[in-house]
Amino acid sequence: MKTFVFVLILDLITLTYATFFGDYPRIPLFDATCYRILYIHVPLAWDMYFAFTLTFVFSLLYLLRSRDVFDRIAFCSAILGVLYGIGALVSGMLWAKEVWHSFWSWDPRQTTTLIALLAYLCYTALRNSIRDVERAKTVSAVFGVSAYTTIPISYISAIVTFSRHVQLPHQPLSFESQITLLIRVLTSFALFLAILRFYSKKRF
Amino acid sequence: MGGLLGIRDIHLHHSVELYDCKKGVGIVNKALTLISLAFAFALIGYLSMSSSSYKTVSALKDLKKPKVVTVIGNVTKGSVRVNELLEFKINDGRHEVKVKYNGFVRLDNVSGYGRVVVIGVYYPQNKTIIASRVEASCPSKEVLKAYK
Repeated sequence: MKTFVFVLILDLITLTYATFFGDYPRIPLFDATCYRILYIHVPLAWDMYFAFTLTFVFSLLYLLRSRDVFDRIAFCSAILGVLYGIGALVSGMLWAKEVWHSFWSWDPRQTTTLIALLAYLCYTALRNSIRDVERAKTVSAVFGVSAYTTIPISYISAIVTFSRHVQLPHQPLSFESQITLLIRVLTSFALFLAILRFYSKKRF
Repeated sequence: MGGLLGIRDIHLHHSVELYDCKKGVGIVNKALTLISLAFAFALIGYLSMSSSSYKTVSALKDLKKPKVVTVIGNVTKGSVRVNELLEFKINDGRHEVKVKYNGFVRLDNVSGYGRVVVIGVYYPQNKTIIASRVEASCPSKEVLKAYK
């Protein structure tokens, strides 16, 4: 519990600093301060990808070894992945409104991420709808492994197609912005792991 | 006694075989479901990616009749004019088309790398898009360099 509180406070401090004082590119085509949402959007999106990767790995391990701990981590990670994914999608929409002039444009990245998120929403709904606990674990593990195919598609959609979403190496970020973003990603990742640990122990 | 034990052994042997067989069928069922679901998800993902991707400016040269298009391209440096309509040109490095838009969007007229998405009707005879919507993209490193 102490670790969880420590990581939470650390994450809130870096979040507050980055969103109010973080560097942003001075481009006069839009209100450039909106770029500070990068420090929220990128960590959320990467944590979402990481969460669904954990669900894939631990679902596969459950199918091979049938150990309850694997199922527990896979399920809790999927729930967190959905929550982080909703956060990434909403923060991306707010950013897009300022830079793209539209909240939602059915851009390949937006569309494929929405599909991935819906797939994992189905995972949680499916699992909760099966009353037989052992059956629910097996069915959701099979679903958790197969739904993962949507994740690499979501990631590569902005690379292989003409997307308006610019990938991180091509973003107009200064060295200071990159360091701030790195710190935000690391603290957010630590918080994700702390929540996962806390939640998977609490729920079962 | 020995005979009875023998019968019991045969029964046990059979039940172990039956269990192994059921387990094998269970694994095959799981694997088949997993592969079919994974294929279905991959197909949905691929279709959503391909159906939402934009046309390039070069792809417009194949059109012979006016058609509603969604095109992505870079705003040609210095091409933005604001008269009664917002007029500018977009290109993909190989081809260029004109765009006319009855509205205002702040466009990058300086770098030549400002990417926009134009939704509207393309008229091949004039090489012009009468846009119903113009949306910008995330700026790249080149755009920042031009504004420094």
